Amino acid sequence: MTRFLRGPVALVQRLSLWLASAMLAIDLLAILYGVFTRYVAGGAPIWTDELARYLIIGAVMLAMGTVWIEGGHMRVALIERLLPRALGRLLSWYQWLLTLAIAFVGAWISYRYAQSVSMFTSQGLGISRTVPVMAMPIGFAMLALLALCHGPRPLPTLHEEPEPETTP
Amino acid sequence: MTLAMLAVFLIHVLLGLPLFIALLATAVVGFFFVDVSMIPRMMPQQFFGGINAFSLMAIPLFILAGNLMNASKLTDRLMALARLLVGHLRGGMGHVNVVSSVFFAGVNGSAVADTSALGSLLVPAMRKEGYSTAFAAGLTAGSSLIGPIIPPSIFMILYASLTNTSVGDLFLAGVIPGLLLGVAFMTMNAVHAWRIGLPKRGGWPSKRELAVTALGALPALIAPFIIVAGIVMGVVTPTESGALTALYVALYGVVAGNLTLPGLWKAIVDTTRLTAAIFVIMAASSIVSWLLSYAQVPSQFVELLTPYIDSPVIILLLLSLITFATGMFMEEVSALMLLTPIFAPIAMLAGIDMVHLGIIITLNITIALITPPMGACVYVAAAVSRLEITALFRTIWPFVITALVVLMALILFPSLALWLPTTLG
Repeated sequence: MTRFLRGPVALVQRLSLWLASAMLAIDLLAILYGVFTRYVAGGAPIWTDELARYLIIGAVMLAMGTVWIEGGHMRVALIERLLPRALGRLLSWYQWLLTLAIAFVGAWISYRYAQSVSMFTSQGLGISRTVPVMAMPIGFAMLALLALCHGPRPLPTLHEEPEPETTP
Repeated sequence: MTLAMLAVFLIHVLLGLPLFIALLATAVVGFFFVDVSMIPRMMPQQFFGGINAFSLMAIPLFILAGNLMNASKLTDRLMALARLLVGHLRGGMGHVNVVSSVFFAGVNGSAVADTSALGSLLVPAMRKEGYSTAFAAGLTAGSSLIGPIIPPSIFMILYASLTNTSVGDLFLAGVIPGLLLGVAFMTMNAVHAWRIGLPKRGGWPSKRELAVTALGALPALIAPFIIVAGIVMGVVTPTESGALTALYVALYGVVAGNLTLPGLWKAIVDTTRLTAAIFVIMAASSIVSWLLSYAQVPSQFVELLTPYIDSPVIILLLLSLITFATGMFMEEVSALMLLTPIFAPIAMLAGIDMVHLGIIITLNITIALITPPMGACVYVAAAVSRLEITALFRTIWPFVITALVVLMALILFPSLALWLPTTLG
């Protein structure tokens, strides 16, 4: 990743993780609100269940790219350490290209899918089903963007510190 | 088709790709065998549908409760109580390790979190007492298996959502097997301590000391009872129970003065990271799972095992063998997501209780967390103990065998798991 890209990528990472975490916090509050209204106000609104589901899906998709660049997705990073340098580099290229391909195709087909369900309305919130489903293309597009900026370099593993964001 | 998909998946896992990417690549290959034109519609639909269930929302909330427990320093109080209860016995720190895991399991359903939180504190303490690093790390990884068995359990919530089984019954069914695992590891530790000649340290604590420490740990100790009682009595759903537990731990942390706003935010951010890592695997697994169902793999599997249908024990042994072997090479959430829909029909035909099957599969999947080459808990235990991973893989087998003995007991005596849900459920 060039020095020019490091700042914007770090900003995207921080923002997406912040937003996803805020969605998780709102999700917790929505569920607690549902319990509170059921036992205190005498009846729970039907939208809390749906809002909780959509918020978590949104949080997961938003954080997917950031977790990828941090090396937080579960994987077995054993063989790449045992390979000679040249083969290791080839493997990093393959991992990167496959991730990019899946992220781009995922963004495209899930965008098309999100548009195809626009005529359906969700039961609880009464919104178009396109709204929650759009979390998928946004998530895959962010993964594609972050993977593109990261380049074909090896990913950090879960027990390694991620690469520092700025160079001295 | 199944073999091609398996080969693609294993190759990509070994090549070090994140599991959700490996699963998505496997799904694409699977669609080439079925009907490639289904990709644009079925892949997004199954991906979204795989995580669009209210019952699954309990998973991040219980993870959050565990993270908040650490941030609120409740873990320290639980360990202090464990130290007081069993620390004076021969091999005391090893016993403290196991008992802390039992306590910790009551709020946190993740074995990896257990290994990480307890290992960093207890491995050095065990080393100081005279244990080898390999045994200390092995016991930390082994006893962390109690986490997903004693309620709450992420694996049980997943299993329940896949098979429409009661989460409350599964949680109750996990209590005795979880305690059995604890007893098994404590026995193993006692024998090891006697063999290497570890001394006893100190005497029984005074009643006052015990009462004060127990009172300090009480907020954490009652959490599992709130969780299970709320669900079993039908007062709250598992997801609501997760939210209430998180709120309860957070309130305790604030009142006790241990939880600051940055600490709370860090717990939420850490939960988001782990939730994203788990949920994308679940979403990608559900596409592969759908493909396997579309290709009628579950019914082919039923046909294969039909000769043994009259013997539930043989069926459970075979299913355990497959789960154990799969778990060695596949990440636990994806293994659970892929195997459960295949196993459920044959188990129903053989008259196996679905709660019993849930406990057997959960324990099998959990044991995979300490088996080479992919046991996540072993990697974490090696990292926190600063031990070479290959050295720990060599010494982990006695712990795996101990857990397998408990599994065997559960297969042969279903009442060990079913007695509590039958009595209280």
